[in-house]
Amino acid sequence: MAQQFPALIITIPLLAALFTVPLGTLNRRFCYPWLMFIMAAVLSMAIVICGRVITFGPISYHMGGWQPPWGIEYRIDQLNALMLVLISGAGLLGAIYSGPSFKKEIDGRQTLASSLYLLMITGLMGIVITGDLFNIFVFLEIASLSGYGLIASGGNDAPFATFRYIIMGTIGASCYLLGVGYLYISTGSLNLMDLHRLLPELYHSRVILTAGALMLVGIALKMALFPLHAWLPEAYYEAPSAVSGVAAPLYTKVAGYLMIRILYNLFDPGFFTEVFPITTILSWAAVFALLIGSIYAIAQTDLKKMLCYSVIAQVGYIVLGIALANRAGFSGAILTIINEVFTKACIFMATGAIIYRIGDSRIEHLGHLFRRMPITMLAFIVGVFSMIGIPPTCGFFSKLYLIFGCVEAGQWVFIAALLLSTILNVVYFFRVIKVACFEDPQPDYERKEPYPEITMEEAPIGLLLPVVSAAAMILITGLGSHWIMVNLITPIIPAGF
Amino acid sequence: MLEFIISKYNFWFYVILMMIGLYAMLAKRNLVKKLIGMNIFQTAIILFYVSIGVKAGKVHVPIIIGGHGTHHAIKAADYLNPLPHVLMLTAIVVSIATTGVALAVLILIYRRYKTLNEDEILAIRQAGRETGA
Amino acid sequence: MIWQLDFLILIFVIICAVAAINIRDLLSAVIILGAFSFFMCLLWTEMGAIDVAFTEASVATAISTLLFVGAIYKTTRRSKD
Repeated sequence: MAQQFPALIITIPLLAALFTVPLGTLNRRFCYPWLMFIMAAVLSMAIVICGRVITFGPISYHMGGWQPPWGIEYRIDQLNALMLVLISGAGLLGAIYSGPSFKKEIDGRQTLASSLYLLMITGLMGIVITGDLFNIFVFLEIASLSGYGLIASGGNDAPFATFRYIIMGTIGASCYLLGVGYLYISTGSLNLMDLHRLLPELYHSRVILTAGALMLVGIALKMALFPLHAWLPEAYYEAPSAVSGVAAPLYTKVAGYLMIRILYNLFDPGFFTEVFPITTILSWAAVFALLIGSIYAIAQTDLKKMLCYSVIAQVGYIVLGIALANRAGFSGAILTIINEVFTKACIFMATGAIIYRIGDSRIEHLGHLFRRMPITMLAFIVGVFSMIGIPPTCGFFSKLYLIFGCVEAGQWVFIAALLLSTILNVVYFFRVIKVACFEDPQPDYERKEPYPEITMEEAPIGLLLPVVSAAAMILITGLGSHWIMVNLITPIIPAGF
Repeated sequence: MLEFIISKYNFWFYVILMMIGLYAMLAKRNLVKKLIGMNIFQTAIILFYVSIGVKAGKVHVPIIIGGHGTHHAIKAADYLNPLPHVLMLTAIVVSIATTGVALAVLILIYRRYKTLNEDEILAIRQAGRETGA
Repeated sequence: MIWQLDFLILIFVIICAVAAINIRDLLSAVIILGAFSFFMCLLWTEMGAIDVAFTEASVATAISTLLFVGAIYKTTRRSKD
């Protein structure tokens, strides 16, 4: 049975998404337990696959029994298994979160929203599990289309932001498809491992260069790398809280995984550093993303919009780690992906809980929040510490490895940019903590009006549990980062680093 | 040089179509025109893929006449390449699904802003932000 | 694949594409988009891709034009550019 898990982990959420609609038409309250049950099943399958990969090495599953390169092959090595666990983990947290959140924000449409949610998880997991380039395009479009539907169901301004996202996302996916077509026309194969074997003798040809450039531009658009980031802040700001709590951690990080696969498993590391210096361009774009994302975030007056710009800055960290092309940088990039999934889930879901209680998330309305919602704010503070990079959270280790990578590559400007962006992170996050946690320092004899009556009204347990679990996972992955390095990251570092 | 252009005119035309679609997506202000441009853009990519499988000379379309139930070997060089056709079936359906979702979002936009012109929508949002802020 | 026919259909396709994005009346633009899809379908048939041709005929020409006309019916037919 465990042999068939790679196929089941895609088929079960896909069929469940179809069954959600008649189930929800029967009784709307069935959607929430059904969603949690399916996501728990998917998470347990992902953990079993990850355990098998750590013990036995990479698994290769042939769909339908056809041999690669004629059939589609699911090749799961440690990076795939790690991404599967991350996606299903964040999906389970979002599923638990979606009960009270959907009821508050998009009541009456929970059936369709739950169905689209399961389709989105299917699409994201399909991208990370498959080893066939055209299959990646199909799952990318499945994930994107369900994302468009979920984001457009938000409040008043969501449809226009979604329209912009649709146009830009389609250009990105079409560029990727064009790149795959150029690779197919010159080699005749679509399988990742097969192309890795076939491409080295064709490195001098311009068709392969164009293919690589097109695929990277498409992925950069999906990832919101610096010049192509304009769709992200409005789309994730207008989305409902449960959707942005799951979409913001996952989409850009899955696109980051895709960039790692294209750069280092499809093309050799040597191609992109010697034949065509794409790593230089990517690293400078990443540095601009770091700085400009942080500077934009400082200028915002709304907490949720500030977090969306912070996502753009964190994408810069991941691409910087990828583009450094040495051991420490690559490890830093993967640790940043792990850190980002849990940290962004924690912070976006905490913001959603604040919106649930208070109504909106403007920073000036967040006063006395630590007394009204102490548990949420504690988890928020753990998330903030991870964003800044304070031990023992996972963010500290990811930044440490990134700085080691920059030192090894001899790029001192990048270290300065990393440290500067960390300080900018401190500025805009601590502004929120100051308004929420600390009172106005007035001595008692100067106080004109009496102390306000503040009662503790915490968010419901359905919203609290994912936030606290995400914060706990930040600490656990931080303390266990050595185990993650040894078992999951060191085996997948590309040869030649 | 001239025969280089003339012998591969399919690829030149797909580039021209793609640029027409891209121009419509970026420069037109009406949202439906942007969607029409997106449709043209994706159809151009499908033109590229199908042109991969075309062979010159006397080749058959990949259907075996009267071959139902028989299993005789065929000479693969006599038939067109059917793999790009199969990939493009999926790509056409993806294009239609994206068009459907975008049209649904367009109806929502019209209900809220009463116009489909991007300039007017941005002006309404700016005015709303100034009065609300 | 007869190259004269191929060339002729491609010229028609480009004319339809340019017309579809330049006509102000949205309903006419959508109908010309349907004609564009139909010419593409002829192109696929002529190139030997008949499964792509009937998929394009049924899905892109019929259903997509219907979706567009439905959306224009519910919104507005006039446009400023």
